Amino acid sequence: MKEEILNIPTPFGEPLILYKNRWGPEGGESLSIVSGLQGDRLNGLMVASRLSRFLNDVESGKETGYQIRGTIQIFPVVNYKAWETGNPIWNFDSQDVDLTFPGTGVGELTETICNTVIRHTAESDYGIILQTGERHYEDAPHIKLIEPNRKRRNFARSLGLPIGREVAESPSLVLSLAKQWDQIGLHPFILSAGKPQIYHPQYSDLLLDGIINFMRTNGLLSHNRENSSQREMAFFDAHSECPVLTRQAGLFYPEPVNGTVVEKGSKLGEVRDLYEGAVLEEVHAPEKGYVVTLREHPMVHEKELVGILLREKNQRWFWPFG
Amino acid sequence: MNTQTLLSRASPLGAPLNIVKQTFPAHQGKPVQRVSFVSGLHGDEFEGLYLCHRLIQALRQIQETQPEVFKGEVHIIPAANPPALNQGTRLWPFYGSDMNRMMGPHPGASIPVQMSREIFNHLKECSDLVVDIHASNLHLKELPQIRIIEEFSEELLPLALQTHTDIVWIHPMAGVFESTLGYNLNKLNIPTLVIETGTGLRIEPGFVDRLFHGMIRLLHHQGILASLPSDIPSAPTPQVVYPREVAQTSAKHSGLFVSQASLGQRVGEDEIIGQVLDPVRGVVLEEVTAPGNGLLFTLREQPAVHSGTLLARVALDRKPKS
Repeated sequence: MKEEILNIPTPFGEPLILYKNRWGPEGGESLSIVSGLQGDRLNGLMVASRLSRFLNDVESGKETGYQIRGTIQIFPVVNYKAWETGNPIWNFDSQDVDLTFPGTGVGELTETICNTVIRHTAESDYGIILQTGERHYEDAPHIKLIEPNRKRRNFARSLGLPIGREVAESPSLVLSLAKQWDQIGLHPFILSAGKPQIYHPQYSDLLLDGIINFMRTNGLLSHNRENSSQREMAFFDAHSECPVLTRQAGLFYPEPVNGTVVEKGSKLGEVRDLYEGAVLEEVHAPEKGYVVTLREHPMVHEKELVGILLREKNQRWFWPFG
Repeated sequence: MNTQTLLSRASPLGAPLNIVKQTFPAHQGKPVQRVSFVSGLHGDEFEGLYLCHRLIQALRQIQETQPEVFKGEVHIIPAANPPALNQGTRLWPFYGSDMNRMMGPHPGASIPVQMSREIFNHLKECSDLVVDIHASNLHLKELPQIRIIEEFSEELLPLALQTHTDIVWIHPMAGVFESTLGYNLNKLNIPTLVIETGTGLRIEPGFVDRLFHGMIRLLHHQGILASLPSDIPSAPTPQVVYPREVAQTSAKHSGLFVSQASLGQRVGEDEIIGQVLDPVRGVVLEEVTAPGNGLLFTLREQPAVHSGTLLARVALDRKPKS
């Protein structure tokens, strides 16, 4: 059911209205799913829409066998003004929404929006944020975890993505939705796949399937015949991250290695001169690892980040029977 | 004066990305103290660049005519974020990153993260005192002021008083400060004064004049300059305001804010300082009144406002102690 959660008049036009969708009875397990924190992250928006249709179909009996057991909320769009422009942020205030939580009840527009999302999700048990890689980068599908204790890693496993990755603590993390959720007692999971501005149907399928499995595993959704499946996930702590930098400035041509394990010394791409096309440098993996992020935009400075490897020596497996 | 390229990255397009520092060393022997000035972390704030220009010009002249006056060392980084300054944007343009939200321990390896980290580490190594100069954003105009987080006030207030800004505002800590240059240097016991003045993308020469005089006085007070140049006028002591001594007023309606007050004027409680208008229907939505008796030190510049938008701050007159 679509519900209005915020209605603010704009100075010169129609009001800004934010919505959430909500299903299921109160009192059981509860899940909030948020997408659209930035105005250019399409995968999350599409997954939110597809998931809403699925849950509407479950509610109306079109998806036979399924039953909604807990409370599920979806917040498809948060940074409404950024979505109007297709930019990650609203140019009017240059404010990254995911550096503005918990916001304030009465304040600037972005702060009010953030506070509204916090108020509407605070009672949930679980929170899922749908994301992509940062600007100019593509992420292989993975789950980011804050304070990844064993319980959280087990929950994450049911999301069905092959990789779990700890989010490193930093001073600015406290202003993010995930950290705020963590501090008020939700289990937060950030699902990242793909890149900004691009809709990736296969990743969308993967995320949709994973979230439905998560809901079934954790008592939010049931099916009268099929059981949910427990899945395996390789988990990497924050010390596993190995950034790969260029030595030269130029145009970066990546190899198709994102989402694969590469050996030490494997070629990740090369840097060519913008004006003459000559190869300036081959970029190699400094260690064996899983390529979780790869540069998309070709223009790179000297010492520019072109990839992130997750080192295998810090990996721990979470098996279905673990 | 020694000119040093503090940080440099080759660019794919040709011209390298350089951050430049000017240094005025002590005339003889070990410096009594090392002070660093930094401005332009946000690329839409030009007041600090002009202030740095004034300081470099004056210190160079002193060095040429009275080198023996230099007992300490002065470092000046006038343009800490050249890509953003060249675009006139608050954020590092290619990544949309806020350099003043990446200070202290911050993960990642993008170029803005690397630059922020290197500036931070450099200031940490070469400074006993830092002055971080900011203008306001594009929306507000501020009287020259120094802002101090409460926990650092004991050490910073005596220094701030030397600068003769209009206001020294001691305010509570908030999450947003945790990743700023000022907070992180102060946490490392490197006293750091944060200046806010004027408005984004503009220069108020009168404000910068006062700050320039204040900074020269500060250098003299710290013993870096053995004598005070004769052309530095005296100035009144700043008004020090504590958290409960700042009152603010916000818009109750969305519309067009038209100010009827001037920054720096004394206002009385409930005095009308502006209106919020509906220009489409031609009606006055709201008379905006001062929230208390005192000095109007913040005033909205950008007229488009949503309900909740900050319009003005007043440094309240202290009630006489009975």
